Amino acid sequence: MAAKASETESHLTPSELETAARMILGHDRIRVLPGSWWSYIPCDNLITYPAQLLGEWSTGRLIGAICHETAEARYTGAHGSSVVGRWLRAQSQKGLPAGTAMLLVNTINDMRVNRIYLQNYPGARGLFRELYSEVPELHPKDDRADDTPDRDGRLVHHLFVDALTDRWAREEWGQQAPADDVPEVVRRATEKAWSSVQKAAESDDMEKMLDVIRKKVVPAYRKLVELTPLPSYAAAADDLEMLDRAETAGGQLDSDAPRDLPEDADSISGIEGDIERARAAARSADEAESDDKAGRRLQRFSARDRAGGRHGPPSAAELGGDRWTTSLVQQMREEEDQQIDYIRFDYRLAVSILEDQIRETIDGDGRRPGLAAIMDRRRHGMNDALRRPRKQRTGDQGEIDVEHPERLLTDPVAAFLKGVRIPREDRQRDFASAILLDISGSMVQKGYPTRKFDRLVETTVLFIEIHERLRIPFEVFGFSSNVTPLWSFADCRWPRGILSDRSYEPRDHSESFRRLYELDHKDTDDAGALRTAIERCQAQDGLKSIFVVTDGISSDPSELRRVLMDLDRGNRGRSENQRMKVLAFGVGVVKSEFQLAYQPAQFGKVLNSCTGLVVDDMTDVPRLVRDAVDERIRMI
Amino acid sequence: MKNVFRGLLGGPSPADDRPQSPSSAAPSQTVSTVQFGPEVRMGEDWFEVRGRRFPRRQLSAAKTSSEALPRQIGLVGDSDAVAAVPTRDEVFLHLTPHMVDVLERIADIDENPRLGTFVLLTGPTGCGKTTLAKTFCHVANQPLTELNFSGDTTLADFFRRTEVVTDDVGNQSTLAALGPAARAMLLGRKLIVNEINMLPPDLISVITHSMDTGRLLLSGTEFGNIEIELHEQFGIIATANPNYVGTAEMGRSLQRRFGLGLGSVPVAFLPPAEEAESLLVEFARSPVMTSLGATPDEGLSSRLVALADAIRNHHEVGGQMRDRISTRTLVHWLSLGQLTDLPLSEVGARAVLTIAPPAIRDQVVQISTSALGLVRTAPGKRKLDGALLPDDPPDDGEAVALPSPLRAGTADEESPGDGERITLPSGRAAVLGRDDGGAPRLWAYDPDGRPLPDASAVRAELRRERGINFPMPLGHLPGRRDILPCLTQSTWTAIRLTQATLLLNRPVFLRGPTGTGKSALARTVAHLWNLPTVEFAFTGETAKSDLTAVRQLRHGATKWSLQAFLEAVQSGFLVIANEYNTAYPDVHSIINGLFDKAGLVTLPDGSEIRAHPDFRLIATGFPDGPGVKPLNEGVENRFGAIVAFDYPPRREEQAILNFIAGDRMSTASLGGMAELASVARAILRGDIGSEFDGGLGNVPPDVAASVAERTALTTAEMVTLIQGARDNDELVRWYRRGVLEGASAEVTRVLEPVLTNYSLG
Repeated sequence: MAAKASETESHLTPSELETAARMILGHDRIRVLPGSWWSYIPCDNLITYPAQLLGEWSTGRLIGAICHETAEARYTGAHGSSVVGRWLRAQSQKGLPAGTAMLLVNTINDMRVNRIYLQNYPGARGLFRELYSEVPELHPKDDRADDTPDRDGRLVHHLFVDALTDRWAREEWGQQAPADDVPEVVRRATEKAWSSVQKAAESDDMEKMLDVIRKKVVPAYRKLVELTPLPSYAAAADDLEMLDRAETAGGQLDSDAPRDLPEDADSISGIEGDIERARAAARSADEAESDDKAGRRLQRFSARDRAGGRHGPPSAAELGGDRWTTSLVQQMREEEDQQIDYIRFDYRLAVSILEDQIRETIDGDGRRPGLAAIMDRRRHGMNDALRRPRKQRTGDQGEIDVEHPERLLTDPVAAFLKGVRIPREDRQRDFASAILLDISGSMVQKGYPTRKFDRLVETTVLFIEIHERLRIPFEVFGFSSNVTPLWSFADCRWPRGILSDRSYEPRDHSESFRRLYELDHKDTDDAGALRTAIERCQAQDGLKSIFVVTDGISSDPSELRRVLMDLDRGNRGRSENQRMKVLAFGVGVVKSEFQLAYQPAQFGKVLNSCTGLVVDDMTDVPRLVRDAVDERIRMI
Repeated sequence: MKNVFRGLLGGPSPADDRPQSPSSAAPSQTVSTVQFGPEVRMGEDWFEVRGRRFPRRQLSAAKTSSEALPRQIGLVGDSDAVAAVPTRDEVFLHLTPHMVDVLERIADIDENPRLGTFVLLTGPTGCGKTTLAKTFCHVANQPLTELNFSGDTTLADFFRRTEVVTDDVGNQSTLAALGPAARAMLLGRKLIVNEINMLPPDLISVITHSMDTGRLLLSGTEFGNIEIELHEQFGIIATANPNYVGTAEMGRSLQRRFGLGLGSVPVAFLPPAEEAESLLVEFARSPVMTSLGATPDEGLSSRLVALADAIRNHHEVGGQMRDRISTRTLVHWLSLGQLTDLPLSEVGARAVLTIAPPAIRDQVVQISTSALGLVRTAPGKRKLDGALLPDDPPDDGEAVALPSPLRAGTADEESPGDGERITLPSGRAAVLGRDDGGAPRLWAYDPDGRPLPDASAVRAELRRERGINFPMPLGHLPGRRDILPCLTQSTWTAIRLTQATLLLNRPVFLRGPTGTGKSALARTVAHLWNLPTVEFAFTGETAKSDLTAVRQLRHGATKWSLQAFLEAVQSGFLVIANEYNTAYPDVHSIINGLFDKAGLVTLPDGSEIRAHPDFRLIATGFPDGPGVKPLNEGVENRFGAIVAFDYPPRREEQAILNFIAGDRMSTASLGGMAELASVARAILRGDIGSEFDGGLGNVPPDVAASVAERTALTTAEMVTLIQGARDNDELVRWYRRGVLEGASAEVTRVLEPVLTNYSLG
């Protein structure tokens, strides 16, 4: 098990690989997404990687491949692709199929871009070495898929280009022994063409490289190709059609035209093949993106949407209506009979739908400042953040303390109490919150989420996102017969630096919601859950709030009362800004019973440490909880 | 103290427009008939506004000799009244019709015996409120007391304070002494209250109470509790910008007290034609421009004013820019263009429009660029040879060595005879003694006995050989280690702009993220010009009293003791105020007085500290972040240039690193450090985010931020690593340790191969 764990740790995850790729690509406007194979697609500014290889290839090899694709993007790019397209057309007219010629160009161009990359980033040498420790199949050789293979299912010219790569790698690192089973004809051709190949790869300029290839390498290559019958006329015609597309690849950089993927995308190869294959990959990646990435589409949530194939996140106009009445629920299932798919719940999508409400809480609504501003002010302990608080003592400015003029003689230092400052009363630096979610059987049954549960989820999304954005530590518990922490204070780690608003991306909490749905749904043991939450909150600094959302009366009211009494007693020993409060929201419960449970009285006085609010309509709960969070921070 | 800036200009000091001493200001005795534009004239004992004649106040310097009044309480005649009248240098010399409107209104109220002179000038910063008030005092020959209020002003600051006094036989007692406001009430001065809405409400109520009753109640004086009638000539001329950062909302009652239609006077920016006229006058009266023989260009001035008008009234950016572009700003803009010979649009983008909030800065710069194109000011008759860095910056991506500084002055002061002389092994000698003020002082001599202007080598040898670290008085010349190691295109231009601003005797604000070399650039300017420098670091805890003066008990009596900042101001040092905008706005407002025409700070006891002609200020600050307070527009406006900094572009940063490393390090590793830092900063800034085509895709934000945070080293951090490392291996080892130490497993997994790629593996 441990070995398995360490093995997992040593391999890159997709997000880690993409982060590394981002750091390597730097400011280049190129996306990196999972696809079927390694490819660089100039017209889409996209590099794809095969996610299935992450568990197989070493980190060094994977990053080597990323470096290679980066080199392709930088030193071939859209312009290079276009130049190659024209060159291939010329070759095709001379009888060398474009796809076949492309294999040769790709192979030599790889050497060229690798060389330039290594000149600029010599540190990457080790990574390339690892990549080429086994000659990688960076360009699938499917130009003659229907032809009879010469050896081990491979054609002679395929063996030739492999031999070139093999030779290049050997000369670069001298580590591999030459393959001893290469046919003599290939070995001789390689030997003969090598110096020209080197010369072509030494050209910084793409056209110069192609010129050398045309003059010095193509004749030998053509002979090898001719060892296998040429493809049919129809295939060649397809080939030319493909070239048209390839030639315009450079011009498509800024085009918004819809993608026009060819039917024969799988049958072509070379740079265009890379392009088209990657387009196909991009198409699948887009689908994957829409299916798997956060906050992109609604298809995942309703059968109708999946069938309808909507693209992109819904706009505010699409969502329509009042922000509060147009809820997560309404958008996630637009028809009455549809249910939200909590097994594949997408938190980021939910956040994107509730973005307006969240922003209003965080940034304010124009009439009153948002919590971000309030937090800032309260951290600095003032309501007017940019005015220095009045000094409370005349001595603060070196003034004589007139209450004790004798100190001028007895203790001159103390007589001028410069710098003594009185802490502001409204200073509140730290906060911590927890939310307890009732997932008893009346709220949800696995496979049958109720509308109540939908609203519970909406409430929780708001709660989480507000705390995430304000960087307030928080916990989320689901409780029924058992209490289950879904997110703990320990998980609340945020980057230390200040990220700009633009770069904020919600953390993915989808798993918490999936678990919430999958947990057992039985009785309502709110007392036990509350005790757990209180214990865990104790260690947090600052003003603490525990929100409870439940639709039932406690199964053990006396225990609940004891818990709340203990809390109140504990609060008395704490300073004002370290106290804890329980705010319970009861949905569809009997008011008197609920208030008795959550607002117990002692000696005729209601406890200050807890409040209970009965909510008639579950649809109000998200707004009420949001407002309660808001008010706790504002200290209204 | 010699006048450095006079030397740089080869003519009169640019600061000579400030009075050198109060005694030089005696307008009432030198006046025949003086014109202030076409509508205002001033004679010996009268002044005319639009043909209407008003009397000038006749001041007598006679002292009251009543022995019945103790000196300490200040109830004596106003012996300094003549000196308290603003000089010509502090006022507008050319009054446009709108200015005359305001002046006439003040004169009208002041002349009317049934109205007290209670005037509130309300308007945006830089529209000339304070200077108009002073202009009135100048033409009316009214002595004034000027007070700048702030959030931490207390009652004691200006009404009454407790002092310890010692009598002839040495008995000590406490005494209630009058503050400057109370003195102004008693002696009949005009009290100019700047930023009255920064005043806490309780203090305002004390002022308004006196205004209402015409009386001042004083408790706890030597005579017990007393009541004094206000002097007939006493008046308050207050200024306020209701929208300042750090001000309180002005109460309706406060505004009403000044009298709607009477003393409550709104002041607006001048109409474009008048503003252009005023701009020409203000530009031409600058001693620097006079010295260069620069003549103002009316067309250019009108173009600049039209641009300002367009920006102030722009439907999108106007709201935020209205208070930020003042006539004063335009004077700075035109003057910087004249001194640096840069196109005015470039001066605007680099040093003037940087005042715009970040969200609209690009838009404002674009408006300015399309309005001004590549227009430059016409060259003056004289050139600033050698004063500024030459107009020949390095190429893009190039780093060059710093030019040689101006020749250091000679140490011409004789050492005291009774100092202790120490001869060091190198043959150099140090004499340890005290200067006239009693401060410790070290005099350094070379082996031939000649005085050394720079004693740092002798100090170092003294520490090394004798273990003596001798304290020194304020003001040092920044050494090679303290300054920028090399210059690039952007730092070169930034230095030229800074130098030009300092020559104009305006403060400079260098604003940029940490580690971009702001302070080092300020020190570099000091190094190039051999300016003695004092450096401060501001914090949120910095109070005005930390910079101005505190009271101390000396020889049995309380005395005000100047803090280091004011000493530097008086001594004519270059003050570098780091993290300037982490202090509260009230601290910022200190520079308002120092860089107004009068160039003075008034202490709580009413004494005035005037800035030395060589005093200059360079402030550095962050663009935003924890603890950063925005500068209010009044303060921003007084900066002659706000030079925006950022981390250098990658090529430039790499050039800097290469320059420092020489051939000790691999260029690939240095390039890798620079490139990684550049990418990481872009991620942290959000430039590479979800909206960027090559965005972070599926990368969780916390992972991206963690990786970026570790590699987003500042230029200064990288420079330190390179300067400290002996070879490339050590550099890489330290760099990796810094980046990977304490990183989580996932961050390490990402960074290891990335560092390898960048030759940092």
